[in-house]
Amino acid sequence: MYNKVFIIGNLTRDPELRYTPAGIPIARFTVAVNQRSKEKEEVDFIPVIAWRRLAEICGEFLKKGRSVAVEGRLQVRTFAGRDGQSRTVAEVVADNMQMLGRRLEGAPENAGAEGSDSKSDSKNEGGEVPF
Amino acid sequence: MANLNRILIVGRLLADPEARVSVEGVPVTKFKLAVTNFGRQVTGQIEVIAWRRLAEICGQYLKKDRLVLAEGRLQVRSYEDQGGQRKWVTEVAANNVQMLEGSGPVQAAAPGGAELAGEEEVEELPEGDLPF
Repeated sequence: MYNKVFIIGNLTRDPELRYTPAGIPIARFTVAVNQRSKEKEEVDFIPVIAWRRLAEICGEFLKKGRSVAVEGRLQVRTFAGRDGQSRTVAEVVADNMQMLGRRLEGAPENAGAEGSDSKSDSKNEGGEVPF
Repeated sequence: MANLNRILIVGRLLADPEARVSVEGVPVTKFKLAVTNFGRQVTGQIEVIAWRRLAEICGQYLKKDRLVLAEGRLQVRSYEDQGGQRKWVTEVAANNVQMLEGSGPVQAAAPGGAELAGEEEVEELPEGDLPF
């Protein structure tokens, strides 16, 4: 069913890149999103998870404090913690990520889960839109 | 610095909505939507919270098993439960809720139309802890 999340904010810390036992990369990070409000400054901390090629790109180029746009779906899952108690986590599963602000040396302009194969990844490279 | 927080979600209500009034006298309605894994298994539930006029509309018209679209802001907040334990909630603070399948008397009032929309621009949230 339709499930879309769009967030723009700053990374609270460096992303954590790990691998599943099957060798699939997973990156996790938290994005701080300021609320637009006149009288008070509040921040939403949104946990984000990325898989595969997108995870590698996140792990390589994202850094604490960087501004990032993430598109994905909200996932809620329950698992048994170490103490045996069941815990529920909600997180955004990213399928598109774009770094905002200043470009880093060698960083891709944007990265999507669709581009998880490196061949399709290069589609957007090397060209500005001609208008 | 640009900031954006938007979520659009379609799901079925797992139970009738819970309509209340906050300590400040503002109507608040909460409901849970079933979340599916890429359109298949139900993997969890997402809580949706609505305020003011939208809360009243949700409380009045939404029922268990209805398919709705909820749009709003994804928020993570914590509160203390009765036992004094800190609990974390991730929820959608809705500013737009629409029904996707009409049914019963509501649809009779809007033939052919699949929607009964409550829309409200939420400018500010009331201060203080939520009553739940």
